[in-house]
This record gives sequence, C-alpha cells and structure tokens, in this order.
Amino acid sequence: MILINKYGFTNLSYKAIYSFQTIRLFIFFRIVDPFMHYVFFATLASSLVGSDYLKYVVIGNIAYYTCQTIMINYMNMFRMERRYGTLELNIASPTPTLLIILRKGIVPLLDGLFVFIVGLIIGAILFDITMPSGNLDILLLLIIITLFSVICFSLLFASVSLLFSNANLFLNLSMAFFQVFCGVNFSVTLLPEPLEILARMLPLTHSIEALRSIYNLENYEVYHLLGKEILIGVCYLIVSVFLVSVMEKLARKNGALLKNI
Amino acid sequence: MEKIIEVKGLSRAYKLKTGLKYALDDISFDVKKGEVFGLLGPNGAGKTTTIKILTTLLLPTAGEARVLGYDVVSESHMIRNRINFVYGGERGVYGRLTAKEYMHYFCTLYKIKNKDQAALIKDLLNLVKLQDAENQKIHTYSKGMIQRLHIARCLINDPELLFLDEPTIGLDPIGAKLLRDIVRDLSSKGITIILTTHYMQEADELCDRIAFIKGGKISLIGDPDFIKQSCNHLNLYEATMSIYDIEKLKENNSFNKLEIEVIKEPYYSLNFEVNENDLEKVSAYLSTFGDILKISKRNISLEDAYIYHMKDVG
Repeated sequence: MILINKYGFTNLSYKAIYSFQTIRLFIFFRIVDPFMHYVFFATLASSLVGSDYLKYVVIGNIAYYTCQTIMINYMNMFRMERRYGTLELNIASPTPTLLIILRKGIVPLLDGLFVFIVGLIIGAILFDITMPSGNLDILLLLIIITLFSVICFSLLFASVSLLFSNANLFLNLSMAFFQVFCGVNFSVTLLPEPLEILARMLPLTHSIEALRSIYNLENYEVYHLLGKEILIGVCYLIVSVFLVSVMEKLARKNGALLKNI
Repeated sequence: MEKIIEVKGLSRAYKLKTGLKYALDDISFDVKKGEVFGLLGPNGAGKTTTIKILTTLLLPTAGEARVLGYDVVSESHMIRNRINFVYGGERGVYGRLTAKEYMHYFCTLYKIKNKDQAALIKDLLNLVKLQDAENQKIHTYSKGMIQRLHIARCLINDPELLFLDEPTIGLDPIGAKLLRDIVRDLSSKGITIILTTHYMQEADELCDRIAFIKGGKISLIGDPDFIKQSCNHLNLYEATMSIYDIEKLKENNSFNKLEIEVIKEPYYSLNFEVNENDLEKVSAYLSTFGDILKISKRNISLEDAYIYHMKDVG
C-alpha cells in the first residue's frame, strides 16, 4: 500500500527523477534492449563455442542485466537530484541521509525485479531455457536474494554519489568488472585462484551459479550459494551504512553537496 | 534578547593551485530571535557561503557557528528540523511534479504525519497564492511562482529560523512585492530571518539589522539607520536645472559621482557629491553652469552607504 500511495515518497521519487516515465520508453529499455543484449551474447557464444553453451551465457546475462539496471538507475537518481539542485534540499532535511538513500532504492529495485522476470520469460520463449518443475519457490528466493545483494552493493555508489557529482566512471568500471569477474559468460572457476577469490567477494557471482544450478546447467548446492550471497549482501550493506555517513561528512567538508551538473 | 545565531571567527577556505582562497575570513556576528538580519555584499563576498554553513550543508575550516544553540558541525541533526532555507533562482524543484506533489514529498522528508499533510499543504499554498496552480506541473511555472513555491516548501516544518538567499532575484516588481509581503508576514509571526539580497531598498525595507560583507569579511554591521549614518560625512545633492554647456559640467572635477539625466533639453536632473556641506555655496557654484530650478541636500540611502563601503571592491 505504501508503494502505490499517490503521494508516497517512493511514487513521488519515481515521478520526480526516474529516467523511464512512459510506456514506450519502458518497453524499449526494459524489453527490447535486454532482448538485444541477450541475443548479442547468445550469438557470440554460439559462434565461438557452439549452441550448447547458449543457455549458460543467456542465464548469466539475465542476472547481469538485472544488476546493471539497478546500479545504473539507482545512481542516476542522485545525478538527477544534482541536476535539479534538489540533493542539498534532501540532505538538509531532518530525515537521515541513509534512510533517504535507502528509500530511493525501492524504485530501481522494483525495476530490477521486472527486468529479471522479463529476462527469464525471454529466456524461456526465445532460448528454450525452461525451469525444471517444482523449483519455482527456490527461484523466487534466488530473485529476492540477488536483488538484495545487488542493491546493497549499489548503495556504495549511491553514497559515493554524495561526494562526486559524476560517479559514472566508477559505475562503468564496475559494470565491466562484473561482466568479467562474476561468471556472467564463463565460470569463475576458470579464473586464476586469486581472481576467483576476488570474484567470490562480489555480489551476483553466487547468484549466477545458483540460477544455473536451478536450471540444471551447473551442479552446485543452491541453498549454500544463496547463503553466501546473503552474507555478501549483508557485508556490503554494513560497509555502505558506514560509507554514507563518511561520504556525507566529506561532502559537507568539500562543498560537494552543492556542486551541480 | 536571545541569540539564535552565534558566529565566532568563522572561516572557510578552498584549496587552489595558487594557495588558499578564503571565501570567509574570520567573521563574527550574532542574530537575535525574531530579527530580520540582512547579509549584503557583492557577488563572491561570502554571503551564500555563510548561509550554507549555517544551514549545515558546508563545514567551516575554522571558527565556530552555533544555530539555536547547537554547533553546526557536530550537532547538525539537532538544527535541521528547526530551520529551513530558500536559495534564489529556479533550481531546487522537481519540474515533473505538481506543486501539491512537491509539497507532499518534502512533508515526508520533514516527517509531517500523513493525516496532517493535506491541510498543511493547502494552507501554505494559499499563503503564497499558488492554490489555483497546485495541480499544475512545476515546469510550467514562472520564476515568481517557483520562488513562492520555495517559500511554501520552507515553511513545511514551521521553522524558527529561515534563510532566504536572494529570494527576489529575477522577479518582476509585483512578484518581488508579494515575496516581500510574505517575508514581512513571517517576521511578524516571530520567525527569525536571514536575508541576502542585491536590492538595497528591499533590505532597507525588511531588515532590522544589516551586515556588509566583502572579500569574506564583515566590514560593517548595525541597523539600517546606523549604516546610513556611517556615511553622514558624504555631501550628496540633487538638483533640477537648465544647463548652458553640459560638456563643461561633465568635465568639472568638483563633482564626484555625477549622474545626469536629461528631462527635456536644456533641463536636466543632477545627482552628485561634493566636498562642501553648505547648500548655499554649492548652489552658487552650480549656478555658474546654468539656472537652478531646484536644489536640495539628499538623504543618505542604504544604496549610497553600500556603494561607499564597497567602493574598493572590483
């Protein structure tokens, strides 16, 4: 009920600063664009290593695209706040900055959920990625946990956005890093050991392995992976909570809250 | 009277490649409860920096500032719910929202209970005369309407202290008057107001006390009469006369800050400063340039005082 309250914070945040406001834009960026993304990587994988590998890659990219949607749009909300000169008005209010940032995360989180579900539907229809029966409950659990860990990681960027007027560089580097090190297109076990350890500290890595296991494309213990994913999410949440207060203080020190773009 | 703002030795420096640049350099002042306090100075003087520090958005590099008895650096959370601010211009709004939605958004941020929001918003939009445009998207608003919306927004939390940074900038005379009326009304309700403006008449009309700030330092502080009296040594005159040779008058070095306005050839209106206090002597000297219809010593305005005190600012 809170989410659909006409004058609720989440609804107004969406209306005020979110990038996709029309059905046309939503269809284009939330259905057509991810579709093209999956087709691109599916084609690439098929031509390089054969069609057996296609489902493996598409599943990885469905999770990756969800992560990308959340991270980009979450951070973009703060860019828009700066553009409109409203960031300082938000921060100067008595609501704690952490709470403002967390509440603004609800819209990209729902957006990510939509992209994840649409991705799985596209996967089922176009790439014949069908889930074995009886796994729906665990799939739902996986979606929730994945969204949780990704949003916790995205909080880092949201807090960094308080200090830097343009955090796109960090975001683009992270997205490239995720694509290589989260096992999106190949298993992280193929990475050298130090890099695999690093990969397993990132959100998404365990979720992708679990998702593939649910679809019988890999054979890992799903609950074990999901447990690790929650733990990683919690770790990023703790770091983010700390970072928000540090970044706010630094932003007040440097006058960064007042820098517009 | 209770001090609502206490500023002691406040400085704010920025690091540049060439060294430190002081936006504020060791300023001190107090503001008493219920006052309208004006901060006047040229662009870059440090007015906005002072306000940003006092509204807890910027940290000072030295000195101390207390707002409502709380330190702006370490106790910002105790201050934020009891103050509010408006920065002039069209920024600070969400163009896609309606005024009503915009107000609801900030009501939530200022922790106004859901059941109280509608009535409060109605009252505030009525106060700033935006009730007929409450469902209109903000991007369709004029500058004046946006400024009034800012005023409505800054009253959401019933603040004890308001910071208004050039609230009438770019407004037409009617819009500016409406805002001045609102400021006067708020002041009569006991809200302390810190006002920055470039319009001297506005400051003279609204402020109980004024501080002149230039180059990051406060150069003069006092009530408007005190500030005007600080320039009592200036001999300002205004005259209406017919002039035989206007070029000769213009080239004469006896007149400082000579302003000439043609009424209808050969009649002119003059404003000038001379180093002579005696009206008769000035009149006699001026009559060598033409026939004087009217001459009088002019009262010092706040603008005169401002120009005098800021004369060394580039």
